Amino acid sequence: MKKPKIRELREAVRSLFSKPYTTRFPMEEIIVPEGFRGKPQFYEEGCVGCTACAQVCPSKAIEVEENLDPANPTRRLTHIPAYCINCQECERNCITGQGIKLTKQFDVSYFSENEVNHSIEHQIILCSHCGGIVGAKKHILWVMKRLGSLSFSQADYIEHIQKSLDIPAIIPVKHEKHEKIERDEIFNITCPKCRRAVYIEDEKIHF
Amino acid sequence: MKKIIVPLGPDHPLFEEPEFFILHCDGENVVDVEWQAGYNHRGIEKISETKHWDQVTFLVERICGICSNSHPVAYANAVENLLGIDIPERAKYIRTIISEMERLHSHLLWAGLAGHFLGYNTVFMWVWKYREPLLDMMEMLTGNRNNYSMIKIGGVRRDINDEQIKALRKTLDTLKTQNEMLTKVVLDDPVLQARLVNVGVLTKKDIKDYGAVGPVARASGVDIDVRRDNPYAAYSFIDWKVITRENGDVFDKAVVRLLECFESIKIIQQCLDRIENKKGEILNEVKEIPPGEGIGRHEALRGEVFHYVRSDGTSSPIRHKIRAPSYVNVPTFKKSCIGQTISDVAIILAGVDPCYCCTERVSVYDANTRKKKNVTWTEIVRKSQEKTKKLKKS
Ligand code: SF4
Ligand code: SF4
Repeated sequence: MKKPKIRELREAVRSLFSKPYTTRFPMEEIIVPEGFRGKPQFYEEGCVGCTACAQVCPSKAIEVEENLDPANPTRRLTHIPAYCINCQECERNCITGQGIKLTKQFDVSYFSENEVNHSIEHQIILCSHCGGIVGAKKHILWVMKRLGSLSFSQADYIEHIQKSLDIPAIIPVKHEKHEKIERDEIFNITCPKCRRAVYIEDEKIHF
Repeated sequence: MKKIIVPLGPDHPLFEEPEFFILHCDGENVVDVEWQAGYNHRGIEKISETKHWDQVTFLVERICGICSNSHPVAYANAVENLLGIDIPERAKYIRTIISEMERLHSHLLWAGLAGHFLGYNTVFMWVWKYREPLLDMMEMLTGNRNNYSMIKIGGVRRDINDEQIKALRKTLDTLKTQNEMLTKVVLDDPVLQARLVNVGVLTKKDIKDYGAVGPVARASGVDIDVRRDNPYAAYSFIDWKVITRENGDVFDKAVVRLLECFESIKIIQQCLDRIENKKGEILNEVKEIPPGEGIGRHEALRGEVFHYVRSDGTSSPIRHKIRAPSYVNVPTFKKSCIGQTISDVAIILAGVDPCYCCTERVSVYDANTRKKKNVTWTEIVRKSQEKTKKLKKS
């Protein structure tokens, strides 16, 4: 029979009198360190609805639903923790840096998905010609603000900027809808595809 | 004479890499081993072709739970090789620190499991207790106990601050004393010697024939280590040595792993010295990946992991080939198990440290009567533990 050595006895005694290393979760709360990567959360003030986070997400945990009803077009971003791998790519790539952030919540057990799936809704702007998506309203405004005076180069923003500055319209904008896209359509909000068509396929200019 | 066939595996919900072993037994002695793999084909290489270069890092991280830093490092090495870029010095040190911490926790995990298979459950409990602060440190440094998400093409994603360095030093100091105690216990325990010495021997030639890598190869005196032979990250700036042993039995494999823990601690401490109280870049921003191909190697915990990527200039790889160390290490069972008893097989298989969490199901097949009897992995572990008990009494 092998006899234990002093060093093993010492360790045994130490183990006997020390607290168990395991915690009493869920009876006791666990405090996770700073920088822990938990469940991501959208923030209304920061998010502009650009969907960059959904595009970079490696596991497609952010779902984008778009409702193209002309009366109230919306875009809904839903975070699905069941798919999320807490990699923080969404936070790193968020264009505002404030729209989605990882919280310290590690426990995402649930009975029904609705308890944990959490979403944010944005109003979107539709193309006045084809009805396609131009972008989220907040996103377009955010880009305009960042561009500053440069955004005047975009004809369809001019009217908005004038309005926001309380300037009566310098250029009278005609809101007519034509069968085929025409040049004055550039003063309406148009999607990039239609805008290209304006310059290339305008019925009055034939190449 | 009745020949008994014992199939081990293949599927178990907890088993990370389902493997299937058929042990042909003559009484208690194993006369032949067959191995089948491919039960858990997840198509990672194919999925990789549909993901963005940056997203692939998170995909390969999930190949294995324990090597969740090794695969990203090898992948990043491959892409950086393709790009022909170097990463900032601080990022190199951080990569090294995380890689070595991973090695530490994996070797400790192995030591605990080996203890459990041999019936030394105290060792199992103690070692896993020692490992726990290390995982807490990982959580503090990277944001998670596992799947660290630290690696990014061109550098690392997170910096380590001085406060964390201090905490890490403290953890390492404690771990060092504990590991010293553990190593001494293993080295001069007569029962462990009787159970492990000359069990599952792999000679130098066997290793070369099978192309085995990592601690398995080093325990047989084959002096290979990617960290030294083909330095990447910060290994070439640091003073450390490759541990080798000559006998190639399970005992030597254990010794190599335990001594490697000290080397890892040494490496981390040197890295910490170099980055403490300093600031620096941690990322070389990579905008696009040009057409080309690259290879990346990394000495993972179980041996060399190899990644190959090819790009056609688009946003995802068009080919991504991965070779993990267990793939070459596992076939050595054919050599090491033959001639041993079933009760030793558990520890021989574990000695290679295949991603081998839970072959919880085993069936015993009688080759003559075609009758099947189900035995659990627990049964085999129990046999192994009983053998130790007998030895202890004698
Ligand atoms: S943390 Fe990662 S997986 Fe989760 S939503 Fe963000 S990008 Fe997607
Ligand atoms: S602002 Fe940020 S959170 Fe909102 S949609 Fe864009 S990337 Fe996502």
